[in-house]
This record gives sequence, C-alpha cells and structure tokens, in this order.
Amino acid sequence: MNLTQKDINKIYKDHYGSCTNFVLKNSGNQLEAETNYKESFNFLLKSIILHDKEITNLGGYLFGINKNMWYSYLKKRKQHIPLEKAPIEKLIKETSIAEPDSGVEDLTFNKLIKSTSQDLTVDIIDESSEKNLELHKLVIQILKKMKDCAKILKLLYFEKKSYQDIAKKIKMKETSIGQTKKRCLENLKKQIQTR
Amino acid sequence: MKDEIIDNYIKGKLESADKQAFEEEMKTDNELAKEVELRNYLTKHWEFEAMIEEAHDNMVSKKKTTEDVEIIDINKKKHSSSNNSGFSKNRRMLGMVATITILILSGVGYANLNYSNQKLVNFDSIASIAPILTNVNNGIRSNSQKFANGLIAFQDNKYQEAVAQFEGIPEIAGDEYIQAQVYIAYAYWHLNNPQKTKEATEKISKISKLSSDKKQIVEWLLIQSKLSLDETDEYFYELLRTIKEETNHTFSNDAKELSNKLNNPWRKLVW
Repeated sequence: MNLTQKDINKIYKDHYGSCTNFVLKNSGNQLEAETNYKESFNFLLKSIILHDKEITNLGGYLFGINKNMWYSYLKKRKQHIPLEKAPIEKLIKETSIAEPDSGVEDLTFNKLIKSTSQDLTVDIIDESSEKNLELHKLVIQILKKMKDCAKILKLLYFEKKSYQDIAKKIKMKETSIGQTKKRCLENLKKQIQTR
Repeated sequence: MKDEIIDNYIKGKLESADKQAFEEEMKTDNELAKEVELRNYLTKHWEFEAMIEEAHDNMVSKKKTTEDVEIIDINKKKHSSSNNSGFSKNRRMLGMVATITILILSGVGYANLNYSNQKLVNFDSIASIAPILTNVNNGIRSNSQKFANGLIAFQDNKYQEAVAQFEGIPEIAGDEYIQAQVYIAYAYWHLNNPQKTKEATEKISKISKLSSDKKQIVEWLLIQSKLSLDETDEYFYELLRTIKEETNHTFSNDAKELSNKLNNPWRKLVW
C-alpha cells in the first residue's frame, strides 16, 4: 500500500484527538499523549509500509495500538491505572496475565483490542502484528537508552551522511565512527535477541 | 568490506548489477539478510518519524491559520461596527471631558517621561512557569545523571549548580538537551540575571523542533527578561502581540494585561 505525505497528514490529524484524549484521561500529560501518539503512528506506518499489513479499520487499529503503547509505558512508570477507568480496566483485569515483577497487570495485544471494541470497532490483530509491536516498542526503548548510538545510526542511515560528515558533526575521529557504528549495531542486535 | 556493501545497499548506492548479486546472496545467507533487515528497519523507523513530524507540524500550522483567520474576522467586525455607528452625542461629550482633563493635568503638573518598563515585570506569571515545566518534564523518558542532578539542584533552589549540570548535557541528547536549555533560562531568571535569561531564551528559540509547552515558556521568559532590561524593541512588541492573539497560549491573558499597561499613556507620567 502506498501512502503519500498528504495521506499521512490526513490520517494523523483525523485520529489525533481521540488517541491523545485517551492518554490525557488515563493519567498522562499533553507531551506524553503526543509522544505516545507519534510512536503509535510510527507503528501504524511500519505495519502498512514495512509489513504490508492490510488494515480494514485504520482508526480502530491505531486506537488499539495507542492504548497498548500507553499501558506499556504506564507499566514501566509503575503507575497504577485508576480502577474507575472501567470498563476497560475491568476487562484488562479479567483478561490479564500477571507478571511476577510488575505491579500492574499485563495484557496481550489481542485481548486489549477485544477490550476496546466497546468504544471503537477495531481490526483483528494477528499474532505477527503483536510480535511486530513488541519489537517496535523494544527498538524505541533501546534507541532512547543508546542516545549516542542512535544519533550516529540516524545520521548514517536516515540522513545518509558519510563517516567524514558524521565525525565533523559529533566531534569524533573519523576512524572511530565505523567502529562505534559496528558496536552500536551489535549491541542493538544483542538486546533484541535477549528479549 | 561486507559492512560497507550492506550500507551502500541500504543507502541505494549499489550499481544495478551489484545490487542484484547482493540480493541473490541474501537469499542464501540468512545472517546477511538479518543484518540488512535490521538496518533497513532503523532507516524506515526514522523516515516514518520525519513523516510524522511533518504531519504534526502541518496539523498545528493549519490550526494556527484557522485561529488567525478567526481573529482577523473578529477585528474586521469590530472595525466595521465602529465605522457604522459613528460618534454619539455622549461619546463626543466624553471626548471633550477627557481632552479638558488632560489639558488641566498637563498644566498643573510637570510630566517627567523618565518611566521604566521594568516596573511592569510580572513575577506572578513567571512563578507559574514552575508547575508547567514540571508537567513538561514528566514526558521526558530519560535516565541521564546530569539531567537528574540538574533537576535536584533546581528543586533545591541551587540555581547556579543547576545551570552547571544542565550545561553539561550535549546537543545530541535531543529532547533532554532542549529541556535542559529551558531550565537554564529559568534558572538564570531565579538568579536575577535577565541578560543571561534573554540570551538563553534566544538560543532556545533557534531550535526548530520545540514543543508548544516549551515554546510558550521560552517566549514568556524572553518577554519578561526584555522588559527587565528595558529592551522593548520592535521584536518585543511583535512577540507580545503573537502571544496575546494566540488564545491557547498559557500566557495569553498575561500578554493582554501587559499590552494594556504598555499602551496606557498615563503610566508614562511620573509626577
């Protein structure tokens, strides 16, 4: 499926309100809501463009991802989701798989999507989407942790800069850029494989 | 060597024949395919990130344009209604009374025009930045030691120490760097150094990807520091007007109030 920037602008704008409102109503602030929506939207684009996923209900799919991403973030922040947020919270509790190290109960992507069917008709999320979403969340998390690495890799692959340009930009020796890049990629692979 | 070929493939720099050969090799070499997949995934991740930023900016700028149009419409209405109504007798009378009063006052006292804009600095509005900044900070997902130390020092009112910690955060830290810069500007304000506050805010203003919360804080700090320095130049008035007209701006009402005070001719008279 081909998406132009114009299409993306429209989809982004159409679902911005509902998705950010969900976060704002679930103990998030404006910046968190925006960050969460952007990260969810990134996964939507990956699903469509990178994984060739056919989505029949785009809004529902995006809303489901947005919810899943937000709950994952809340879990990491070790913040309890207020119980009065039922019926969603009630459904989560009913369908959850408790994790020993977590104060907040977990839920699988499919179950979450089912649980949100009351407020939006959602697309059926298959197992591969669930795996892809986990990878997406993991990559975001790793890139945030490995900031210097992320900067080098972004300059190299996204901005398509040469080692020389990168060295100038981040004030490093040109000879060490290649080694650092290699180390960063190895580290990234290792972290993905160990999860 | 292989690494270079992979990179060139990702960057689309391989010649057609080399590209084909490389793709053939990938079919049989699982490790190579995985390596390419990872680098391609990262490239796409950042490509999508850039597209999303563009979509976001597009949405925000359109929203702003609509608001601008509404403001212009309201102004037009106000303008046309005043044109149509004309001067009533009462208004004419009021005008005469005002003119006489001005003449009398001018005659009785000697107007010294050595007024100061510094007196208009609104410390209450500046104090309200702290909770906004805390709120903005909640969105930062970071574990950097320098940033954490800076925050602790700031909360303990050790502003000089906070500045030192925040200044140690490099530009490549992205969001965290921007956040640190905002704290630096605010810390300088607490240190009673409007010149440094102004310089810090001007530095932040040049950052292109500034979230609206931070932008609003920075704009208001710049207004207040310029006011403290008595630098009410053209840019100052332009920025003040923008804040005033931006209804969603946290300091919109403060800007209106300040603008009214600045436009009040009586404040210039010190008897």
